[in-house]
Amino acid sequence: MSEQTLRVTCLKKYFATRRGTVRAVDGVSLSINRGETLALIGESGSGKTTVANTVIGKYVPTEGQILLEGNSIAQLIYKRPKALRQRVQMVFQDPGSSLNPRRTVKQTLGLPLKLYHHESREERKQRMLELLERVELSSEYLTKVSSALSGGEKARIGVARALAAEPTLVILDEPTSALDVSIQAKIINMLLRLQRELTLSYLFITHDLSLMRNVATHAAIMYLGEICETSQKEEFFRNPLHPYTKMLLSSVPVVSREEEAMKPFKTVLKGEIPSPIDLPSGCRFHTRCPERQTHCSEQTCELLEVHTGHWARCHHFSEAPQ
Amino acid sequence: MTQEHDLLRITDLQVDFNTFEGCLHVLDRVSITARMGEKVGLVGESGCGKSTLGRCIVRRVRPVAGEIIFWSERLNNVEDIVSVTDSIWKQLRKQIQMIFQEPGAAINPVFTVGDQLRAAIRFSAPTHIGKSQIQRRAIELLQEVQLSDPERIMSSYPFQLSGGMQQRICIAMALGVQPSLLIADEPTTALDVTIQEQILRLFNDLVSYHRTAVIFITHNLGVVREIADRVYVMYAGQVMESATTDELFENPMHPYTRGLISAVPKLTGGGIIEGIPGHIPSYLDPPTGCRFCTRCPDVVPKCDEVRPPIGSINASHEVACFLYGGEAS
Amino acid sequence: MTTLQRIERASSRRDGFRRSWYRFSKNRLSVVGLVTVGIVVLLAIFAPYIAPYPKDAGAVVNFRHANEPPNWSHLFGTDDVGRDVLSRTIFGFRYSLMMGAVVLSIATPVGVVLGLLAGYMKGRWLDSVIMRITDIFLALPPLIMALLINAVLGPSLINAMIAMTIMWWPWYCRLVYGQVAVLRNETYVLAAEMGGARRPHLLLKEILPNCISSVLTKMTLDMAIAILLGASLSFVGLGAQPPTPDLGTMVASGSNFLPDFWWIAIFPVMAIIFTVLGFNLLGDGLRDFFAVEEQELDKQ
Repeated sequence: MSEQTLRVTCLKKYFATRRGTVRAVDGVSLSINRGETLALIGESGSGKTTVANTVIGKYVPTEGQILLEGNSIAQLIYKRPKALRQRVQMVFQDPGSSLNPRRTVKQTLGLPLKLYHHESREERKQRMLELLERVELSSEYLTKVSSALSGGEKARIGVARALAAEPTLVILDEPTSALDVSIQAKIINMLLRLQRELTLSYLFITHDLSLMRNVATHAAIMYLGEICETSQKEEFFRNPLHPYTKMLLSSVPVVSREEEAMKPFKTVLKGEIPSPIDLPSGCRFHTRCPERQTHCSEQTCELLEVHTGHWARCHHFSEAPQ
Repeated sequence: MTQEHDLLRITDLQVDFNTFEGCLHVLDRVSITARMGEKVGLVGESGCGKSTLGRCIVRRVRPVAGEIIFWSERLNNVEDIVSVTDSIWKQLRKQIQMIFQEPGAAINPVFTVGDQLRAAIRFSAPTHIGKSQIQRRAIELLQEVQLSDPERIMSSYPFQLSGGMQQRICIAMALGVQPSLLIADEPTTALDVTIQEQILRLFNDLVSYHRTAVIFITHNLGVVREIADRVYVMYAGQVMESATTDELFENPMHPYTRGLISAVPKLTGGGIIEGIPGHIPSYLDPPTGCRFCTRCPDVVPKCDEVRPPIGSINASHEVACFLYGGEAS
Repeated sequence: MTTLQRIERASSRRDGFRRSWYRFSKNRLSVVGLVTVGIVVLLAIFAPYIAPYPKDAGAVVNFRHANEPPNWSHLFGTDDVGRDVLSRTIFGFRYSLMMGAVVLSIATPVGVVLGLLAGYMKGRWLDSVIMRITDIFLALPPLIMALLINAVLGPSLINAMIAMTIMWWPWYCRLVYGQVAVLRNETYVLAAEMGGARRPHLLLKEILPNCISSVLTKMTLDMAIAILLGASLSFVGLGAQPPTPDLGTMVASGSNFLPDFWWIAIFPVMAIIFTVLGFNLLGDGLRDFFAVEEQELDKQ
């Protein structure tokens, strides 16, 4: 089980715009082992979606290396793009817009089957029924048009489409953020069951810490293109280190006193995420940090291993200069 | 007037929609009240009719039965919003404001923020006021919603501002009219959690300060817990349970409320519980009794025939379920 | 408005059609448009059997009955050479419809294919070439250009149609190009791409079906404009030539006898209005017909 599915090393992705260079991802390293789930957490504008899009090969990285089961994605996309796309699949954020409203479920699922596994018509049909069973839908859904499905059913078809290619890594881009809680519960539990059954690795992109707590095995917090804290999930919640993590934890709306007790702060995080074109000097979080010290705005800080397997990027944990 | 005064009392509101499939019974005898300065949460999953209820209050949807009694401070009178004449509604209209989920959609993109803010102030002023006065009031409002550099914001266009800033401006515009009732329909759903928290706190402070009553419509239980004094839980067009916020979350009674709260992912972990099996019933032909009976774990035979009466558990907790009495009838 | 109630929709395609029809028919004016267009089409097809004096469509003279006002044997009266105006108007629908249909059935496929290609090749030289040519055509005033082309080629019905076709395709090219630009960013297109689909599939199976509805709607509305433009060309003498019973030509020759023999010009004018109005209403209705399936509950 320790086999590494994904290894990203020092990934950078810059975009040139009219107003300057957007440093969307700026030196991100992460890894996911087989059967594990890494949750990538951050506000919009933190670069988490760019990381995902680079992993699926939609963007070419400015710098850095991405290894998928030991093979470089840069080479794969060049030599065997089909193999890459087959190994990495994505479940999109809005199940509504990720399905063509005018196509049937059969057409939607048939496409990846036809492309990756040149099966006969009969085999394909068989596979489709299997896939539907996996996502807990009956065979009569095959003839339905996407626009006639409910939100939960669309989400299930979205998952089935990703599984059709038989991937090892599935990127889940806020797969339930558009769904009601009772449906979200079912979809999440289904995803967890599928992960067990098929030993899938998940890269789970979300902004919802409570959801992450129940889904992920590892967590990484992103802020302005950098990872500011990463660790194994239990350790992460037991001992959050970075002020930004603590702030995020404090701002989660919760439904019970026990959860309330987990919040490190009572105050609110001030301000909004700065523009990735005009990055703050020093520690990128210093403009909003409640525990800011004078040198924070002057010196950049490195990601340091504070405890075993628990990394944080904050001057509090480095040797204080001066 | 006292705190106890009912600002809004909705009684047995019923809404039907005619569609291709037939007549959809979207709201079924919904009754809610809001007192002066009270923050009322309306929580439920999508399709439960909570937004429709909000739209009934501003006369965008016409109910087929029921009344919406609104106490107008300005007219010093109570009026039934369902049946008032258009001329009286015009006067009531200013006292009820609305904030929406998409702040970008609620502000006109072709005018500057200042233009729109000034217009809102001008319309709401009881008498004619001068330009400098309007300008001063606009800056005041922007400071109230904690936007720094109000002059710059006034001269910018909505698309130049972030979602959080746009929502602050919507709040400023709504409160600039000094309404006695504010309907907020999922105002923080489109925002990041950190920004959501900021907006919620700000919103909370402002409505308390202005003593504005709020009907806060949301699907997010955590959000409603933070903002509301009292919560109504809606399901499929019926009110299932209502209680003060603490009471509801400490001691949820209706099987639907319990299922809903248990399905929320917890920060403390422990896996996600699939609290509610099955699907929402069709609005075409819903059960005549409790509409939750098709999914309820504690269902008894009469549930789908007889609508459980709303019973008081204590002074601050009401629930419509046969589990808690209502044997008669 | 995402939290507004959305109705869970039933499944099969036929049901979808019935639902679309329900949306269409809820607006009475759309049905009026459909009926109007239906009548015009039927009249045009069966003109020889419906018209009371089918021979009057041609070069016939009957001076004995010239300039008769509307009466029971000639409901719309007769023209200056004694031909039945009603019969000629019924035949006139033929030419108007034919004009619109021929022009659009050539201009639309050309425009759609070029638009798709340009959208597909976005950013490459082919995109620039197609779209710049389109821009040039769009910048020219259509009626004046049609007049010019017609004047060069010589006045005739065929040449009028050629001129209109040349002026028309860029609009469809623009429309489809714009649609492709939007649709190619839809998540489901990205999803299909992620699934390994090649460009022809993306273009023909994912994008094109979602363009069809707006193209059809535009075609219906354009029928009205094409008929008007055709009539205008005929009116100024650059379209169908007398004695062809084209509505525009009839108005042109009838206008010489205004106001004394008003019926000669007025009835063809009314026929044009009737047709144009019908297509316009039908076009609006089609927009409802093709509206996205998930629709908000209607306000009462």
